[in-house]
Amino acid sequence: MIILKDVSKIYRMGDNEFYALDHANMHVQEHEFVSIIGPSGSGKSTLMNIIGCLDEATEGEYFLDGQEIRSYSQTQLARIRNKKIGFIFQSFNLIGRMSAWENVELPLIYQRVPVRERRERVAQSLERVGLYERREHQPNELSGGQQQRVAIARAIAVEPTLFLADEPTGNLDSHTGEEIMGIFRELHEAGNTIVLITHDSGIASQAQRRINIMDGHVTEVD
Amino acid sequence: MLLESLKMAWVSVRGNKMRSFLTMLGIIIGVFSLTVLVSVVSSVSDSINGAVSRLAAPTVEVLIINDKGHPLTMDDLSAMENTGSIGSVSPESQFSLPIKSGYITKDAQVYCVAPMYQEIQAIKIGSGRFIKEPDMENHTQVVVVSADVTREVMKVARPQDAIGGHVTLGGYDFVVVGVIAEEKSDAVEELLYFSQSYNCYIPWNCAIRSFNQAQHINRFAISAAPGKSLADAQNELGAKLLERFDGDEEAFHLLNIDDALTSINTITATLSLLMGSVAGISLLVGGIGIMNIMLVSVTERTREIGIRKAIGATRSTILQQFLMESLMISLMGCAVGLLLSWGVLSLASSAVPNMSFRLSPGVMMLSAGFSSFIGLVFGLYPANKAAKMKPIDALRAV
Ligand SMILES: Nc1ncnc2c1ncn2[C@@H]1O[C@H](COP(=O)(O)OP(=O)(O)O)[C@@H](O)[C@H]1O
Ligand SMILES: [Mg+2]
Repeated sequence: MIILKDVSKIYRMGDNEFYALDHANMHVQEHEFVSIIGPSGSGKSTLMNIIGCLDEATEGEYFLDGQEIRSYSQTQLARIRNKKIGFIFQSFNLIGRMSAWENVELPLIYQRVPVRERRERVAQSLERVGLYERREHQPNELSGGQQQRVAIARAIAVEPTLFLADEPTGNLDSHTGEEIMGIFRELHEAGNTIVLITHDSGIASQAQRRINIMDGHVTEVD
Repeated sequence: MLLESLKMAWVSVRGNKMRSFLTMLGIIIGVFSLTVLVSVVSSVSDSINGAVSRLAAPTVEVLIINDKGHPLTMDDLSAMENTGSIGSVSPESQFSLPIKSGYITKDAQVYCVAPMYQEIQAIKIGSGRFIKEPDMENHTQVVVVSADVTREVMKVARPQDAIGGHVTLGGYDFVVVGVIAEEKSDAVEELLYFSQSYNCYIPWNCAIRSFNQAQHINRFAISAAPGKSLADAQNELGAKLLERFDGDEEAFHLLNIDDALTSINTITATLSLLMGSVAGISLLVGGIGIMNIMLVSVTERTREIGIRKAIGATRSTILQQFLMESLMISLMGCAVGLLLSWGVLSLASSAVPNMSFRLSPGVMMLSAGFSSFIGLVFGLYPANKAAKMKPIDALRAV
């Protein structure tokens, strides 16, 4: 489902070239739960941004569902992010002035899902993460763990082919982090594909498979 | 989708009430001044038009500027009468004379006319009668006066009490035989009337004798024959006079009420345009205010834009959202401006007697259209700036 071939991300600073990703090769199959682990600054977020079509690789090829990503226009990439990918960020990335319900609803609005179906899916997703009762709350009225669950509900509502989580527990205490990991395990058992990025080997070990990253070098461990 | 962007725009406008209001202020003031100025000018112009066409009959007036030693006489006028499109003809010599009754003396406008003048100028008699044929034949010193003469010069209680009374015009004694009907007039008509007050109509023949007027006529008025247009009558008259004065177009001048109205309307239209443009400029300034605030808003909400893009908003979705926001601000400003000017115009209408200032649907549509235009044009740059941000860059913003 995901295949990276010699993907590099090069930042140019003056005359210096800095390889945030250095000829990375990796693959993820459908229904897999993969963790990508590496220390801070090793290029994890850079990798995730490329997999999530938020950023473009400088070199190499990236196939998503068999299609080379460079062949897509900006609008097509937006549609892929909208329908295929469910993002969960370290910093939650909810929109401040909107309620939990509105935040979860937003990607469905962009998908032009009809109102009735939209309502059902938003309600189901919020129930799934146990926050239906708090649907009218704005992010600043929720705890960090609750905000992250709203973000997960937003991803679930989309029914994406890939859940992409960048240090989802990084801003949470270990107990809440464990709750969040529980949700990911359930999502995996329900047959979803998950790529989880972390610097914590305890969290990484909960995945089926680990991919190591160090100074932009990716090594797959089977 | 449109409904959703509308909702989102509303959330954002509502979320920043004070700022939204301040942004709207420019549009509010622009729309307010545009509608008030244009409405006042158009109300006044309507009123002038109404007054002029009510006060003035469909008449062509002729001024002889250079008679080339061939002055027109009463006989010439009689010869013109009822030929072709020309209907009635009456001389209309006008001069100013002191009018005296008892101890009161005022300056009166004296018109030396024929009986047909009443029909030509559609003069309505309130009491008594107008000048008649026997008055002409007998050179009787009779006068028909306007109502203000009876009130302010003769000091009688009711206009009809003036009938049979005497006034002195330029030292000659005249018997009042009729009083012109007084019509209820609005503010503008009063202004027009003011310059025409103390009107006296006396028989043409009598003027020749009493005031040493020469026999020749240098001003007269005609009406169109029944069923004929005034324009045709004017053309025929012009041709006749041209022939008489050896083809010299400068020898006489034809004047009709439509010409007068046209020139009034040209003036008011120019005035409207001028005031409208000034108000339009203030709307433009309001638009720049919108652009300013939208740019700040885009910068402030960079992260939000990033999140929206990450979860699937396309460029056009973001563009639409921000355009909708600036459109909403400008249209809300427009609505408030219209409401305000409606209030002020209603107040003005009740403050100025017999005058109503209306907010015409045309002006309302114009301001709504112009406001949307401003909102869209000045929203476009900030909206485009937001739309073309790269998702990853926008997300990284703090
Ligand atoms: N926009 C950028 N410009 C320059 N260097 C960058 C940029 N983004 C990331 N980097 C660098 O790339 C490396 C990898 O960053 P990142 O992928 O965010 O690391 P991680 O998520 O593993 O902590 C870091 O050394 C970082 O400084
Ligand atoms: Mg990172």
